[in-house]
Amino acid sequence: MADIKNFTNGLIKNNPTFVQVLGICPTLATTTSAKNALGMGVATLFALILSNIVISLIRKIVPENVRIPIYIVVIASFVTVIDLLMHGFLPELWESLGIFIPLIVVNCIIMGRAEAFASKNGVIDSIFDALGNGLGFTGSLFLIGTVRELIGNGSILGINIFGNSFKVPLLVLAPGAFLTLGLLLAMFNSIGNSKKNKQKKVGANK
Amino acid sequence: MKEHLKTGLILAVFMLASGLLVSIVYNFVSPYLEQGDISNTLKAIEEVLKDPTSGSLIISSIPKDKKSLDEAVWKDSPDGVLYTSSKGAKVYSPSYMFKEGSKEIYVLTVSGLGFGGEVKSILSLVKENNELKLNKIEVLDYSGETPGLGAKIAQDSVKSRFYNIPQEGLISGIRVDKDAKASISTEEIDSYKEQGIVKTSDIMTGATITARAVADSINAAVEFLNQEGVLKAELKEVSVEPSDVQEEIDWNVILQAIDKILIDSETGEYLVSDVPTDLDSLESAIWKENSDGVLYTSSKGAKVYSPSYKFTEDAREIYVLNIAGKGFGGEVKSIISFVKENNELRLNKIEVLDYSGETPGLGAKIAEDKVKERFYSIPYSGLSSGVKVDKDAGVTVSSEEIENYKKQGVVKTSDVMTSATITARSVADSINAAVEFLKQEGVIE
Repeated sequence: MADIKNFTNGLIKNNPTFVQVLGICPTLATTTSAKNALGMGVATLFALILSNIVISLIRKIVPENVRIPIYIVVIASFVTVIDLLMHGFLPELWESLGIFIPLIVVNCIIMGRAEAFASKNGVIDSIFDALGNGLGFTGSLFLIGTVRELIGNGSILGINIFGNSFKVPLLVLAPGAFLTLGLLLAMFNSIGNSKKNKQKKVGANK
Repeated sequence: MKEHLKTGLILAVFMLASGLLVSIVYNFVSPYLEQGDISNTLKAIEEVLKDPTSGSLIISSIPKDKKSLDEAVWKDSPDGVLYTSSKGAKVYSPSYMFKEGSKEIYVLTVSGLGFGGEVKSILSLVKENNELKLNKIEVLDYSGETPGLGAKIAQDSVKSRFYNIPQEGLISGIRVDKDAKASISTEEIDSYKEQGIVKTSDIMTGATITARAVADSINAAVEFLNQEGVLKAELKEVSVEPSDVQEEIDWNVILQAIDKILIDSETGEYLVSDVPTDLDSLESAIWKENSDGVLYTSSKGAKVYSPSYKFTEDAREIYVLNIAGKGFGGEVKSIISFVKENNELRLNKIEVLDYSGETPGLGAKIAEDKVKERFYSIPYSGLSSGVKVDKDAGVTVSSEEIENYKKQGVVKTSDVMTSATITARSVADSINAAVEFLKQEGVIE
């Protein structure tokens, strides 16, 4: 039976970026602007949905000892397809994301979901799981990209917000990626911790 | 066995399915990919079809798609290259020609050899009233050039220096100001274009190679048009003398090396009171030089390069020579100092400057201090009997005897540079060439 929890689990509770801290390489490298971050996130989302569907479908015919090579072939095929489609139809975005599109193949979120979820669950649940994790990843990237673009370049999605009066170019450069990710991680962790504490207190009062 | 076959079969089926999927998508996408490449070319062509001063288009209908571009093809060749110049600059296929009134506009894709590969450009040449001029140039690919130096070539301020070169300039051959040895003031930029000299030294400091690549590619385009009969002229050969190539060497490296080898290997003090700190003071110390760049070549192919320097301090004469020997993968270049005092010559110090052809971990160890030091302080008796490494001399030298053996010209390297005799030998050869040169010049008898 399909369960909506599979969706919310990846989206918030086990958010790949901020909770599991997975896929950090593309997170740091492609979040120079909100648009790049969104592009990367959506590309990963599609690769994740397609590979989760196929891996869930073939889970009963894949021999245990060669499952990893087969998962990699499935993931690599979809990433190559996405790479070709982006090259053809979104050449500018494709150029700015560069090597990170083909590198989705080795993104540990996709391999992780294939191994931990899709290979053990039905198609519908796997789609929910892919959507949750993929959107969680996309949302996290978009948030980091937005913060970096807004403070680093004074704009969001290329729309000028602060004008030229306020720009901290450091945020768009590599150190800015680490700073932004680190501060956002700290923020989400402290929110998570205070929630847990509240629940404990509520539980104790009962 | 059966289980293995089954597993292999399943794997093979997945590989096949994957290959099939990717090839289907590729076939579907490839026309769009081509379209993308074409649109980049179209954009560049549109750019070079503008007048550089007014910015307005010089022809009324510019090609908007592959079909109209194909109609403008002038010369093409199946192997992709229409012309290769003596400098390795190329004109690529296809080339285009547009007619507008009495004007003929030639659009060529060209490349020249830059610092890290080809520098590709697209340029337009306009023929009107039997006069050809270079209209505009767009640099398309300069990915091998150094950011901040050669990569500046694509900036408008640099590109525009190549715009609007008249026929006289094209016939004389395009050179950059550094190669032409011309110092050009900002007002004279356009008048020098009539001689084919393009000023880039002010806006692209330290990146002559990239600017020269573009100049070469323009020359290739002009040579090609001449060959095809568009321009009927006697083209002049542009030659860059070896001494110009020498200018590409980083002088700071040389100055630092000279500073090191002017320290006495025995006392650790400077041999001269005025150590050259800049190019001018170094130039005033030039002793022997010649125009072809080589002062002496030994029977083993080791060379003494021009220029050589001489410093005099009281009764002491210090000779500094640029030398090279044949190593494992090319020349091993060094700079060396000799001290002549009380009619006795000794090798003071040596700095290895270029050992890029030697194997890392083996021959490339030559630049390490502990290896170089073995060549320091060789007395005249050792120099006159010819310097050789211990392996070639067929002797076993214990570490206590290192200094002693130098008197016989034997340098122990086998312990600090195992199985890299060729590199050590090349340095020994180059030292011998230096000694032979000093003999020839009468410094020693």
